[in-house]
Amino acid sequence: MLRKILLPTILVILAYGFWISPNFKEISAGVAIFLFGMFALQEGFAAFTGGTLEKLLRKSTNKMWKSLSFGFTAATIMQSSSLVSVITISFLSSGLIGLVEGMGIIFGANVGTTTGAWLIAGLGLKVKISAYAMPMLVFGVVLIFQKTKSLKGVGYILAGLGFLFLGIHYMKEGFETFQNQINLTDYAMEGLAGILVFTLIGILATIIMQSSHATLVLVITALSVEQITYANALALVIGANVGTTITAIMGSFTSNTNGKRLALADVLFKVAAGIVFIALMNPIMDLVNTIATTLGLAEDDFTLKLAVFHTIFNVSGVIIMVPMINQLIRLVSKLVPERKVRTTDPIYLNSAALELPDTAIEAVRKESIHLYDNAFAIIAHGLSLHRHDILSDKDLKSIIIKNRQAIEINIDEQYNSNIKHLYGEIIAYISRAVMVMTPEQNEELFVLRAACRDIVEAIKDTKHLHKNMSQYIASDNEYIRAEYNKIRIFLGSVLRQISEMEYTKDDTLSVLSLGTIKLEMEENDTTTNGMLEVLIRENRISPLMATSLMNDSAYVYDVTKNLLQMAEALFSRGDLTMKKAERSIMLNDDDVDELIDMKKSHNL
Amino acid sequence: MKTKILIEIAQQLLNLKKKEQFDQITSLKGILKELKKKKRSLKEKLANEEDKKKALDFQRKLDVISFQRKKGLNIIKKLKRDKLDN
Repeated sequence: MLRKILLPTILVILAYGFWISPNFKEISAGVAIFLFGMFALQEGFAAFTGGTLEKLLRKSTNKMWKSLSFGFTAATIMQSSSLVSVITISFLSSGLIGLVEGMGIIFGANVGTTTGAWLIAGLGLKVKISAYAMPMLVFGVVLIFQKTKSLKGVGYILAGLGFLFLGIHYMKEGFETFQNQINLTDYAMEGLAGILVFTLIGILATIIMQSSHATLVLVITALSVEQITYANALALVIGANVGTTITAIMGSFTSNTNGKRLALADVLFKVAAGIVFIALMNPIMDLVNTIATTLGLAEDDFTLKLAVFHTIFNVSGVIIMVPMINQLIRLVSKLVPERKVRTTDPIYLNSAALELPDTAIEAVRKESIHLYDNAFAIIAHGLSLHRHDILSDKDLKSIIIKNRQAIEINIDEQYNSNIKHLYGEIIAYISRAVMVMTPEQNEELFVLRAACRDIVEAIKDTKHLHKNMSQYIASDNEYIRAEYNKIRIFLGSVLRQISEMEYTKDDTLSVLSLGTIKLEMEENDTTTNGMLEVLIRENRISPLMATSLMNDSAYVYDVTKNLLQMAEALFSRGDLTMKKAERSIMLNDDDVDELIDMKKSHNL
Repeated sequence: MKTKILIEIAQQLLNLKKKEQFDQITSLKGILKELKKKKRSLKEKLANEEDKKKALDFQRKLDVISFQRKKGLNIIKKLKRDKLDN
């Protein structure tokens, strides 16, 4: 309801403002151009997020100082702490980084964003930046028309910077003309009431514009032509800092518990710092003056003093918060408790990650592994094996021979309760994700989708296998029992090898080693290696048992094949190029046949 | 850095297909190097293994690695040929 009224109200106010004041129109146009520049800049950086930024983020967040430096650098380069927050929340939700690292990045980004105030106050107002804007726009637009993704990205960045500069220019011009007609300082408010009212205005302006940077530019340009008082400008800066948390809050709506915790930590950080700064406004203003004097700034250079204040606000916040990070984590964990997730609910799929193709792919991969974990229990029980036995390093053969008791399991029921919903969610997420992907990234998503289908197929084949297996592993006929136990040992070892790949961080355990299972599967196929004929001929098993074994051998073949295909897709390492290279040398069916032929001819 | 190398890097950046081929060759070379190490270690293990079943397992692993290496080397050759043709 509020949203429905808000937009028309803002539009009407703006239209009325344009009608009564051409200067207001110029300032608003400046803000609009500035915001458009920010969008273009973000679009440009998004072109490089397909790997570079995400790779950097993964590598540079293993220590707190690295997380802080990364956040600082990223926000300084991109001139947007919002983009950094959104990326961080996506990474956190996709399980790529932890809460501590996430907080480090956001705190670092808060400091990084202060460089904007220095640039605008130091350069933007003293140099005629519109002169730089024009060539940037021209070069930028020319590059945007190029086909290459990276050139297009550079184009958007250049055009974005051009628009930012142009926006600042228009705001400055607008305020300068405005100055001759109306004096906004007439509306200045003194004392605590003034601080509170202007803080609130700063919060609202930032929420509406979705950018603290835009609010900051507006405040600095207004301050440069003395349209607002210095004290009120400081309050607006506090408001802008608090208001900017709106991006993190909005980003956290679609994220998991950790994403929400991070957004809350950001809000607590900014609100606490805001309250402290409001309470200690006078001593802090003295501190700003002292620092300004030390830096050699003029007594009346209020715009640069504002930049000093903005820096103190964020840097002191970080200095206070970093040593207390564990307490902060405990607090946010208490305020946002872990939602009880059913095993069938997705853990890693979040809408925020859809904006970042590589992160979305990683989220799908992790969720597919989650699907496999659910399937693992069903398949293991379908083979009458306990999960802990497979995951242990005990000898599978001795466990299986000792245990003739079949595990009671209704695979259909298990499929419906533990797999179906999650499988559907993954497929739906992939359908949404493909919209923003490059052909290579789409190819990877198709591979992951096929892996999920393989998991489902493996369960279905296990269901068929389970029926005869439960009967024959308890049979008094030792030959048929031995044959079915062989199947259990083989599939148990396949599951064990895949689990080793999933849980160990051993780099040498590459998916390429799964080729050995493919070869073993072909070499040991009972139906083709003559074993079945021997068992029938010597009346060791009945014809009925023989047909069951033949049918079930086909199911074993299919389960193994599906599990191996799934593992090759989910556990291959590195970036897309590495995965592609690894997959190109994996053994396919023809390769296995060729290898068997080679071995045979070699033996002859 | 020499101008020639700089030009080469610039050309690689501008020619996406060539860059992809270059990256794929580099990745494959890395994987093949790793496989070579594994192959060497398996050969040593096989030579010292007395248990027949374990020896068979090592032999199977060795056969698979040799085949994968051969496959990889052929792909690298093909990629290099394509690169020259382009």
